[in-house]
Amino acid sequence: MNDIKFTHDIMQEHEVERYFKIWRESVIRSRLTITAVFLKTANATQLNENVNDQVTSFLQSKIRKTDLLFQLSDGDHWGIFFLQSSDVEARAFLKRIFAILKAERKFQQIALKASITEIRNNNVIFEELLNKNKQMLSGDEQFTWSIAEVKDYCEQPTEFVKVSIIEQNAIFRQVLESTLNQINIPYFSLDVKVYEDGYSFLQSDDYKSGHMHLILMNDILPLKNGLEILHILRHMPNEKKFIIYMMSERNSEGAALNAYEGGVDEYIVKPFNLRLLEAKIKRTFARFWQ
Amino acid sequence: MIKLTVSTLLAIIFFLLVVLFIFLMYLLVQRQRESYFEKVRDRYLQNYSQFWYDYLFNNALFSIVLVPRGSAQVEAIEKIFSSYLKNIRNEQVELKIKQFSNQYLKAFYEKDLSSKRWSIRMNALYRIADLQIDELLTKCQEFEKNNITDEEHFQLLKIYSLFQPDLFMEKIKNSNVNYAESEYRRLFILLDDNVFIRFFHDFNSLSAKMQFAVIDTAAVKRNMEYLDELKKLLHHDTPEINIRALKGLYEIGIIDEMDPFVPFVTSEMWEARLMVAKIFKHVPLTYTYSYLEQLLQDENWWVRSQAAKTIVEDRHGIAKLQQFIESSNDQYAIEMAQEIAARKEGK
Amino acid sequence: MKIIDSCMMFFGGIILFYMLFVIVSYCTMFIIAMLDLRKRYRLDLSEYDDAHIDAFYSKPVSLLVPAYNEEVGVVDTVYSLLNLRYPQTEIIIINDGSTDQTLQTVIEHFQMKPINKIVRTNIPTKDIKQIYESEIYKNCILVDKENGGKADALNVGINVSQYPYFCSIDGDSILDEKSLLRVMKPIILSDGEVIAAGGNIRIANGAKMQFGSIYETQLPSNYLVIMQVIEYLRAFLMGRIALSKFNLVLIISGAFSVFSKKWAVEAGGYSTNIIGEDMELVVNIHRLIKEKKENKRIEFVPDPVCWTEAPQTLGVLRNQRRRWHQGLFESLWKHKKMTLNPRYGMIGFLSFPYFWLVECLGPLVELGGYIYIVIAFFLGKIYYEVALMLLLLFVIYGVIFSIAAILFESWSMNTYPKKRELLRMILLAFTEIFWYRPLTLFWRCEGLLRFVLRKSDWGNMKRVGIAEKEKSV
Repeated sequence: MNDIKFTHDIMQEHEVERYFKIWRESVIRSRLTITAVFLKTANATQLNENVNDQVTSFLQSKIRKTDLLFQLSDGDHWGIFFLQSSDVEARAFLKRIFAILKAERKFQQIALKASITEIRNNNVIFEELLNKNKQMLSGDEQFTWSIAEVKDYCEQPTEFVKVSIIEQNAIFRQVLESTLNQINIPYFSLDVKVYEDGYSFLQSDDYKSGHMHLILMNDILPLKNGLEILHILRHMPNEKKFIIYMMSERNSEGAALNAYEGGVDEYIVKPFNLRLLEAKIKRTFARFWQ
Repeated sequence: MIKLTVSTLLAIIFFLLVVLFIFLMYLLVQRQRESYFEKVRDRYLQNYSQFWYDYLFNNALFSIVLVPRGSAQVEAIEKIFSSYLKNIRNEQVELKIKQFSNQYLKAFYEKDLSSKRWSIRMNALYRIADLQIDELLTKCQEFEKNNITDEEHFQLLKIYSLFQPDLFMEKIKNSNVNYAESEYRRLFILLDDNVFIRFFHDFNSLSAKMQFAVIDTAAVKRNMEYLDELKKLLHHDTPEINIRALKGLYEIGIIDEMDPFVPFVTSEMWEARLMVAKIFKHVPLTYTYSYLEQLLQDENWWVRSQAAKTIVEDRHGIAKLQQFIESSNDQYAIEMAQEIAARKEGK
Repeated sequence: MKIIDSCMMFFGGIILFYMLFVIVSYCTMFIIAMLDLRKRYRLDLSEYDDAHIDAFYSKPVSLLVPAYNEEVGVVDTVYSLLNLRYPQTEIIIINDGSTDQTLQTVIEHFQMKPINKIVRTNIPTKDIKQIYESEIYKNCILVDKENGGKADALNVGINVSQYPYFCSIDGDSILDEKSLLRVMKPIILSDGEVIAAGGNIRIANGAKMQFGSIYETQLPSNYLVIMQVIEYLRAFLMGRIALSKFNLVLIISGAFSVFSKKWAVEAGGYSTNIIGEDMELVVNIHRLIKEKKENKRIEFVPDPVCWTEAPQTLGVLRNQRRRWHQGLFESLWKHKKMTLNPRYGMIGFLSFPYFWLVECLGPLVELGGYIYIVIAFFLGKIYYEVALMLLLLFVIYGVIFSIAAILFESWSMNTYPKKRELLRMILLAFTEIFWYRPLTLFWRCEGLLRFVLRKSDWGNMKRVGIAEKEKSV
């Protein structure tokens, strides 16, 4: 078995650091959760190169193309970065490989323990991340096959979202404003502004900032109607930041089709259920963090 | 004599000017009153809109200050309610509005119903239906015995359809007023399915316009029960009914069998052929192509155009059309096929 | 002297008699209109509007906007159409070979892209150069065609349109957001028995607007324009409403009217060789109705409002009136056989005589009256009385009727809500008989003369653009 020597093409700690810095920023920018997993052999005394290589090649065979495996400079830790994955997925991954390792005879000598760190903000320093996990795995109190968790970075920052309501009817406008002000979406803070016509909305220049922007508007509006605003917004360079809900009292298939083709995210025919609207909005935001 | 006429004329002019002057004064006073009325209304709106929102949506306690005093405040409340009902669907809110209206607005509308002015009576009838003031139902039935206009009668029917569907069914079948199709639709759309389906049971006793409205409403309600009823109507003796039923079935868009439709490919009426060409959109092209090819060579421009459009919607449609263009010798059909194919490819 | 005497008596008698006749007929129409509006006073129309915004209860309409050198106004017009509260419309702008920037303006503003579209030729027209579709509004298309006049442009629009009803709107007018819904009301509620409907036209000068919506109506400051405002109110109260009640309407303004496409096509569409193409179409449709012995109607709807720009200078106004009158005469002359023809029923027995006597030849007699008064003044005492009577009749006819119309409109519709504006209009109405009336009479007579001499020139109106200098962005 030991006559074949693998030269493992595995990344080293110092190489990974640079990538990590980029991912860390996209955690915020693109709302992508990263989860880091660190593994260590449970019985450190038995450490030998053979086992080490075996673990490396085993891990390499199990990760996805979007995951990154690397070796820590101390030689007895492995790290894996799961991009676009939460701790749930990482845990599932660990359970799966642990089960395989335990079951198969050829892996008899291997015993591992692991720690998981979910990263949802950019206050993470690579060095610190490593140290915290090493510390977590260093003690003897953990059992073999245990999975520890570092909770320090899982709190996502609260994101500021602009909300613009464009509706002509003053009473209903007030209702919408109150409703949206009352919505509580975890990790998002809504800043609600109301406009009675399309022109004043465009004049406000509010839509030009880089913030995420939820727009709730009628299709027919005095001075610049909804469809034109839609067109303007969807032709801006960073149009992805707009979530556009269009309300309409015209119960016509053609009008709805036109609106969707023009780029609305939701087309709601009046009268509609406010609770449902709330739920839709919440769901829309929940989807942003994956 | 001429002399007399000049002075008569002068008198007439003077008289008319006086009349107009009085009218002007009346108008100015009226304006003043109106602006006062608006002020009261707007003040109520400003002060209590938020109360209303809290009461209706956030289960805040009802406050006695919301009860209207005078017609200006009633109008303000009407404004608030109609803004809600028009934009928001929420059973709890509707119920609260209904309860409030029955308790506090009923008297106002009851008085308006006995007004001499037609427009005031009409407005009252509108509100009774919108705000669901069902306690005025008996009053409405009494009102019906007066000498009322067709418009008022229509509004009454609407009220019955909301509060007492059985009474409505009875009234509408015995009604001797002929309303427009769109008006019948407005009446039918609000009915529950188990009431509405009764129209199909004695379909032939209905007036033509009601029959059409029943078919169109059934198509919009999209209930599977109506599918079979509409299919039955394909065998009706009146061609117009056949066409309407075809249109209804097309709009529902669920075609589970071909047999009922095939005879219409060779129908005498081009409208029926057009509708069949449309209906085939909902059926895979392999089943319909032979019929569509036939329709593509139809004498009617609309039928040809629709047949080509239906073919092109299928994934293999363009290929089929190209094949047709090469093999056919019907110049009109080829032209249509070419145009539609070109447009599809252009997109 | 004897001859002059009998001449004066004779003409004086005729003119007096005529004036009495006109006053009585106006009075009748005014009373009919009054009763009609009184019934509807304060009726809540929103009930109907709210229900019929649903496509299920209404019929789709194609909106045709013919534009010849309308680079100033056309964008606002289209905006007003985009903002209509109506479930299903398509907007078809027809550029009738404009020589200014109309085409480019529209293309740029609405991001028009050329498309291929199959056009069915129902009515033969000049060639279409290219059809465009807006990237922003999928239901908005632009047809670029060879110049062929307004009627030809409208015919192209009819050919291109896909819906069963079409509505023609001048390229310089603004529609109220609910106007289409309401002008379609008689059509919907009669299940197509009404095959054409015209709306009420108002003067936009002075109104504040932006991107095709009027947000404040204000009486214009120009006296000439205020006089026209009054004139429009009168025409609407003493004429249109009453005529419409009895299906006698011969004119529904081309600036805003809806037609059933089927009937319009059958009537041959708009005639290209005539000045008053809108009247011509209505008369042709009436003819068709009677010939097919069908029970169809043409209605005027008092409420729907289309805002249009009125001429601000005497020169332009003169051109307009001259052209209108020439057009009226031309149309009546062309269909003169319908007059008093039993085949055409009430249209032949009431409408045509009314239009001949009151609308068409009226100005001639009235102008005669003015001249009579002047001559009588020079001839001395014996004619004073007749002259005085005439003058008094003019006062009734001009001043009293105008004031009544202003007050009544203010009571029922209240377009100009400020008290000061109301009083200003009334004061101005007193001066009408001294300047505005004679002037327009003179111009209309000119129109008559020009028809007799077969002169034609298309008085082109100089436009300021409705949006007062406000540039649409």
